[in-house]
Amino acid sequence: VLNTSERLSAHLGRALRLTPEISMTLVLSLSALLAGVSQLDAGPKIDPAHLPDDVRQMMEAFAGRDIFTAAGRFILAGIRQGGRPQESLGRSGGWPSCRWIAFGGLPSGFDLAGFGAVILGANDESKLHHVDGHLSDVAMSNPFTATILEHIEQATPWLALCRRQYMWWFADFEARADSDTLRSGLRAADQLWREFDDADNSR
Amino acid sequence: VLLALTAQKFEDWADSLFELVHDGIDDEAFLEAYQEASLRDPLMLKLSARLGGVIEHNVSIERLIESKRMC
Repeated sequence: VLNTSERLSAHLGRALRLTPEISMTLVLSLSALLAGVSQLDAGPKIDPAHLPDDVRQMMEAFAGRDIFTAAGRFILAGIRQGGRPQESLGRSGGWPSCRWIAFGGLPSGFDLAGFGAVILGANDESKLHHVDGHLSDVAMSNPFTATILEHIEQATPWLALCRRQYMWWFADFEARADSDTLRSGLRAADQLWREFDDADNSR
Repeated sequence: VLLALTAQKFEDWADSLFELVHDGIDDEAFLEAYQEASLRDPLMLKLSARLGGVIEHNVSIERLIESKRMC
C-alpha cells in the first residue's frame, strides 16, 4: 500500500506541481473526504420520482458527489495556500486573504475569554471584524497577540506569528487549566460565538 | 478474501488515477478525475468504508499484516 501510495503521490505531485510530501497529504485528505461523503449516498436507492419534493430536494442537497467537489476545492486551496502563504497573501491582501489561511487546517491562536483558542481561526472573514473588542486580558497578555493584530490591520502575513501565539497560549493554558476553567471557558466561548453570529445576522 | 479484494481495488483505483491525471491538469479537472477514479468500481468505496471498521476486525493479526504488505 505504501509503495503504491508513494508512486501515486509522486505522479500527482508532478501533475499538480506539488511536492511528493504535500501530494501524499492531498491523497490522504481526499481519500478521507471521499470515505466520509460516500456514507451520505449509502442509504437505500429510491427512485426520486417516488419521493415528495421536499425530501428529494433534501437528498439532492446532501449528495456526496457535490459535497466532495466543494470540500475538495477547499482542501486543494488550503494545500496550495500552505505551500505558498507569503506569495498568495502578498498578491491578494486584505481580509479575504486571511480567510484562506484557515484552509490549511491551522487554528489561529486568538484566546477568547481565556479559552477558545481554536474556535476563532481565520476561517470566517466576517468574524474577524469583530475580534478586537472581544479579546480577553489573557489573550492580550500573549506577547504575539498585539503583533498579529497589527499585521491583520495592515493586511500583511501573520500565519507564522499565529502558530507561535497558539503555542504560547497552549503552554500557558496547560499550566493553569483545571476542570472549572475548562467548563467556564467553553461556556464563554460558546456565548461569544453566538454574539458573532448575531452580529453577522444583523448586518 | 475481502482483504485481498480491497487491496486489488486499491491498485485498480491507483491505476485509474495514473491514467486520468496528467501533467498540468488544473485543480477542478483533478477533482473530477479523482472522483471518477473512485467511482469507476462501486465496490471500491464499499470495501474501503468497511475496511477499518469491519473487515480488519475479523481477521487474524497475521492476515492483517500480510494484507498490508500485499501491494
